[in-house]
Amino acid sequence: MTRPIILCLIGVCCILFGSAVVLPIFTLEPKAGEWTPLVQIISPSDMQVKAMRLLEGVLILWKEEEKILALLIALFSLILPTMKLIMLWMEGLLTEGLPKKWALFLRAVSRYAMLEVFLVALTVLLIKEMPGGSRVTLQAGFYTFSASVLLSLLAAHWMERAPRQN
Amino acid sequence: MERENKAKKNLWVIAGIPLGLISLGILISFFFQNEQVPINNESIFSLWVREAEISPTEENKNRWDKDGSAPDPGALVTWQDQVVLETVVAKDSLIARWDPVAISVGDVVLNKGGISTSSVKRIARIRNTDSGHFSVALFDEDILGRDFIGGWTIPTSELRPGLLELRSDKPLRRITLAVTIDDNLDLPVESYMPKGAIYLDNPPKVMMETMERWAEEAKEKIGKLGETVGKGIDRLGKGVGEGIEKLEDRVGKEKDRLKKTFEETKEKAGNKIRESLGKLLPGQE
Repeated sequence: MTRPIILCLIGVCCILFGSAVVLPIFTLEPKAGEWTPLVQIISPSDMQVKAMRLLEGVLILWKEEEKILALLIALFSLILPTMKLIMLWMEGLLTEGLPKKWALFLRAVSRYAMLEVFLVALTVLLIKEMPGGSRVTLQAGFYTFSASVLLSLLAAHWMERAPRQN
Repeated sequence: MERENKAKKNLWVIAGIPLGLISLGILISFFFQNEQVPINNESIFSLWVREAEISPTEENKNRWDKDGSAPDPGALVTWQDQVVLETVVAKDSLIARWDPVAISVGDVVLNKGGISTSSVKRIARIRNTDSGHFSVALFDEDILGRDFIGGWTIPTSELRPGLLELRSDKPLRRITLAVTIDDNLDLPVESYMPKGAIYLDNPPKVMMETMERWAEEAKEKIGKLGETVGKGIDRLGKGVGEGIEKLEDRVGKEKDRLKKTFEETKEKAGNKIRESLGKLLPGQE
């Protein structure tokens, strides 16, 4: 695999990641079992289908004073993936490669690459088990995020093997 | 040195490219998301009056209610010369709030206990047109009907999902309308101020007609109330008259009974005295 192709792959990863930040990751359709029609009458806004987005979720957590959780999610799902993509890009473009410190950082960050995907999968699993028949459906944001993470892993793998050009 | 600086600058440029691509991804997604709900001439907006703030006194500095309590505001929304929404009345409120759903006992009774989501929605549906307008106004309910507080006329072309907010220094200080698309009752977060909205010092014709109807209804109510009170007084008077008659009758009967008892006792006592005298003085009649 040549470096220009890998760079194109990283570019695609960046666009996919950007989409994942604003697209809904999953939608939640609340149900209250056999009481659903009644709750729909009494409190229809609570029974509306809710779309969860990454950026929106972080902002909501921050506003609701869940600052540590908001920071953790922002770090692992927004900041670290962005930094990883930047470093992969630089690794692919710089003839002398990344400085040693940065390369170590990149390796460390890669370990947490699938963390967000795992968290979303866990949330979906938990809500699926909730009583009342609440339904969770994965949305485009989840797939673009997963695709971005998987492609960036592949790009990193191919980058190590690709011959460096002057 | 210069080469080093140039290299550093290049490094930032290189790092900026992925950031630019991420931003591109965000922009593309925003574009597609907005495409999902296009706003055009066919768009139907659902709106309800969310909140209204009223000045503590009328424009002429009079209190809203004679007893010194806050006004009882209710809102009307008109579109194409028709009333498309009439909210319930919020009792004694300077800041009143309404929900898009309200269940009235009348609904339950009329539908024999069966009500659906559509029958409890208190929302106005307005189509987005380039030249159209809709009006919203607040009225203070009192015993003789409803007094106009204030209102706004808003171009329909200014409608978009969000909290439409209007402010003035007139009696209707602030009004917030929740605007959504296609009966979505989620309260929007983003607020905006529409352009071209005009404050109404007097109600438009269709609202005047509704006010007249309210006044008629109030008059009927007062008439019915008067009738009920009159009937009550009549019934009470009749009851009192009957009571007095019965009492008189009873007193008369008691009087007769006492008279009879007195006569009987008198006769018995006379007989007894006569008997005793007969025993004491035998031979004397």
